[in-house]
Amino acid sequence: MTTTPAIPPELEARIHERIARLGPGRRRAAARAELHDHVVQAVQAMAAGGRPGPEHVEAAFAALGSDREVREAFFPRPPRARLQWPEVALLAGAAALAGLAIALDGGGEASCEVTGTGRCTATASGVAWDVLAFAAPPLVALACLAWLPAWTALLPSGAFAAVTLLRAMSGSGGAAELALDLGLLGAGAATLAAVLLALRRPRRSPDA
Amino acid sequence: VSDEPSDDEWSRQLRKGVLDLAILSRLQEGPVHGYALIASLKQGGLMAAEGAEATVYQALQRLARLGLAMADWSHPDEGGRPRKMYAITPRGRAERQRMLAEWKALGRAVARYLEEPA
Repeated sequence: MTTTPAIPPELEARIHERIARLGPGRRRAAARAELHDHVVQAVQAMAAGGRPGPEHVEAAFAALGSDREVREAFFPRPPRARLQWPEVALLAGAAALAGLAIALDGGGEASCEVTGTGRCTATASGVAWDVLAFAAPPLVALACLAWLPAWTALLPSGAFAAVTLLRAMSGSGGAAELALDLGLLGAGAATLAAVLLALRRPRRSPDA
Repeated sequence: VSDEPSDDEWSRQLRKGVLDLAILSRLQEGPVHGYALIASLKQGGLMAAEGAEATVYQALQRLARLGLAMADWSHPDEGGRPRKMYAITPRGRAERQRMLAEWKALGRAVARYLEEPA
């Protein structure tokens, strides 16, 4: 019966270092453990009867394939939503609508300075900040759909839809205020609709 | 002609097409870990000695995603390393039956066609 040769500590360190380079991150510990198990078995099989050396480690990794193949097998990126033009148009439209509504209204309450007469006058930086704050969530959702796991797009779009709904419900009257609230409400709804539309599409595997 | 699988593109594609069926067939015999599965595929002539072994892990991930296989960590006694074991699911068994029937039908069709081309 062939005895299984032990892996010397320096080779263990070498294996761990290569694996960590291929798949860093705390959440990949299970995949790293499986890869480690495979490499150790391969090294032991190659060195059967002898002392395992660095050449066996290199051969074990080479047999697995290229770094790209190993990454795709053990550390695949999560599937992304299949983004198509309706979602992109909806999200871009939502960002434009939110920005326009805020800009036309002259900024929200937080963006004004009180003048000598006691009136609140919008400042340029305040308006810019409000436009940015309200136009950002659809754009962040778009970025999430394009580059991150699709579910992450629900966070900015859900929060945006909730905030705009609450804002519309607590509207303080006045035609301008009502127009602003309706504009933001439309933008929030469009953002959420775009994300839900994208999530319903079949996923695209990163290696497809 | 050697039984050893050759490594040209056509042979690779042919074996790639039957990889899922081969894996499910091996899993049907009992749970197995990735390294032993690869050794079994090589021994059975379904994988070239120089074939990228990572493709088998890719296939296992795909089969698990489709619900045809499942993975679990075994915890051996006596301080042995935990090992990820793959097993076939009931859906995987049914799918394997379907694949096998299709493979046999295709084999018969190809043989017929090659003997008597239209």
